[in-house]
Amino acid sequence: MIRYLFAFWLLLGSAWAHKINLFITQEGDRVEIYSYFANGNPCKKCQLLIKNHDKVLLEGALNDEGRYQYLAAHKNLEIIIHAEGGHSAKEVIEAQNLHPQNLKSHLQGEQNKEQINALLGLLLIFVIFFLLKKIKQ
Amino acid sequence: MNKIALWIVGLGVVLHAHFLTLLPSRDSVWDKNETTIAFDIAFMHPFEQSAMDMEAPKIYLNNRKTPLPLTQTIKLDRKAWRSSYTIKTPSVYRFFVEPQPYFESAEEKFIVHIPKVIIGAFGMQEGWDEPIGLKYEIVPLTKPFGLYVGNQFRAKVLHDGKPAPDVEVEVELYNVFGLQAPTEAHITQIVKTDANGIFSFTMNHKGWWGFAALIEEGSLEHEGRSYPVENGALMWIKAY
Repeated sequence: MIRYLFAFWLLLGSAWAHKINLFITQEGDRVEIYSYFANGNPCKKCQLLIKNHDKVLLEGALNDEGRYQYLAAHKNLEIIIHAEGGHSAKEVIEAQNLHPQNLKSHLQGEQNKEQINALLGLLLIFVIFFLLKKIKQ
Repeated sequence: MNKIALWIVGLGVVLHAHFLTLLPSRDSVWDKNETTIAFDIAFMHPFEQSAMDMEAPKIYLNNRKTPLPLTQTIKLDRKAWRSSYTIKTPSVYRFFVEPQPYFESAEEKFIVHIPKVIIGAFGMQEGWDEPIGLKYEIVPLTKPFGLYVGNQFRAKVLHDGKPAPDVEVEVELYNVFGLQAPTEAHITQIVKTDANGIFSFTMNHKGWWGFAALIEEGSLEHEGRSYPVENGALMWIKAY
């Protein structure tokens, strides 16, 4: 019996050690979502689900820093993070400054941001190659 | 006869350990509606709940760059200080206080105690075991927030960044419970650091516990005479 209790305690300890935290702040009409582990590591690319009551508003993923910016168009938001291994975190918030934007345009905006970042990355690589070439000459 | 009476009173003062308290209103932050932490700063005998007047100290977060604002207050009928800080992001926050040297005439020495307290916010548990870089410092080896009564607290004493062996660490409970010690010897518990500067102590009561690693070093002038300085690396932790 004691052995089982000890095993359960170890399992519980391990589950806590991998507990993910969810920290949500609101800046203007932006909902800033940040998810991280107790050791400070971000919840990279973790699955993000935003719901308004039972209606799914967004299915997406956090970035490499465990963050996501969401423009809230609904007041009541349920924000859920899923990490590997079945760990999850959930928080219900009331968005203060609603943004009159639909999901399509929000996703379009996110896509544009990603495209801009990709372009900037390519530009940086080009600049580095250009400088290296100059140095060699 | 008077001399003997004075000597006994003096001995009584010597027996009671001084602690500089740095007590936050909570040792961890979880609720976004309660992110402002108030700090009580006083110079006292925490078990006996008697205090001395304290001149304005400086309170810092993580480093000496910017002191936090202070207001004067009264604690146990003596001059004391309050400060506050509003936590905005998940992190581990390490606060410390630098006081003005206190001249203790009964012991013919100066006392300079630098207490620190570590607060975890929103589940972050990274960095509580890192030193701030103080000249005399207690660095916890046990997570210093979210502790139970009966937990053993382990920590390392550093002097100039190196482990300090064979150092006395005085331990007292911040006794707001009206506890009576069976004898004077029970008021201040003492443990010593081992060869690696490590000590441990098991807390047997809920509340704030103060740990003071005392290292006598240096001297300061008082009315034309030189007196030794008792430097204290202090740390406060709370048992639930």
